[in-house]
Amino acid sequence: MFEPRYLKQLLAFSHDKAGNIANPSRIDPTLLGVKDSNSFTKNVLHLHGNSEPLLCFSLVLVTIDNHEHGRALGSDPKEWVIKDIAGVLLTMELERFVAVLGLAYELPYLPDDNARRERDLLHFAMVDNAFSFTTGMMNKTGEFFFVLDIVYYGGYLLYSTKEFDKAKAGSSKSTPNPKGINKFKIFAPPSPAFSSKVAGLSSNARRTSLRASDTGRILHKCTLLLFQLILVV
Amino acid sequence: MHSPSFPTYIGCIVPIYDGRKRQLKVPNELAKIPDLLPRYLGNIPEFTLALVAYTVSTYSPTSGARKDQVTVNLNIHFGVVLYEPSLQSADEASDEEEKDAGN
Repeated sequence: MFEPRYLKQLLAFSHDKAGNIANPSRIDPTLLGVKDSNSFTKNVLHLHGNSEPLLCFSLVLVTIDNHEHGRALGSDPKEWVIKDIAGVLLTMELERFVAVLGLAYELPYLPDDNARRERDLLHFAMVDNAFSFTTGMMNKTGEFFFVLDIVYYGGYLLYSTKEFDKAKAGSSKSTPNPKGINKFKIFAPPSPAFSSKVAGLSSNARRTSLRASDTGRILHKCTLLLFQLILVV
Repeated sequence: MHSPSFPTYIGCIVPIYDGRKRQLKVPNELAKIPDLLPRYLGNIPEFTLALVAYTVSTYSPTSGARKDQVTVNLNIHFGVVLYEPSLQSADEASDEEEKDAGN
């Protein structure tokens, strides 16, 4: 039932203005604009000529699923619930995805290694090297709170937990999935300038040594599965 | 021309749809997925091929070590399960991975 051609259609899909949908990995970033949806929601991605938020689609291989029960963070009286699905974008789609968002949010595209500032970075939520697609953090009264702690910049990914650990405060006991967000990875050898920037972050939020990326293993497994899928059909 | 409006935050339910038995027409049917596909029940197995639908926004913490740093939110709206790897294929994949690691 699942044809490679269908997979290709989903992967190569760019956008549909009438439907107000897009694939951030494929859309031309010049079509994207950023505007405040309301006082709480800032810098929402939208298509030029359309004031509504753009619904984005990405093809991912799911690594962690907490969409049903969510996971609890923190403890009473400050217990937060978040529902999320973590997924790995396919190779090359990930690079395009980051590039498009970087352009949409007007990040500097000629970074100066000696002048990298934290505010020049885009931070993403990730769980074990996979992007985390989440609801807002909700407490029992329905308030939202966001803690996101990923740095992706110039090919380097850094996951820090500084603020998250504060909010977490020894929870996750009731979390259905023990894999938490309190991990980080560096995916590529950082430049000396970037290393020094990293060194300025919380010590519990970084490792000084590089390690083989789990993403490599995940992508390897995903690639095998995709090949199997294509061979089956 | 009316464009669909998607709320930026969805608090309680993240619907997952079952796209294993029906191929969507791309891109026309992507915006109508909730009307076209049945719900997928249960947890999504690891390494399932899925389509996630989300909106993108940012926020900047007003305090703390990362004050004023732009952070991207990928606010999930729904997901579509496209292909579920069988347990067997997952085992085979991990076996091959181990062999590769051995080499």
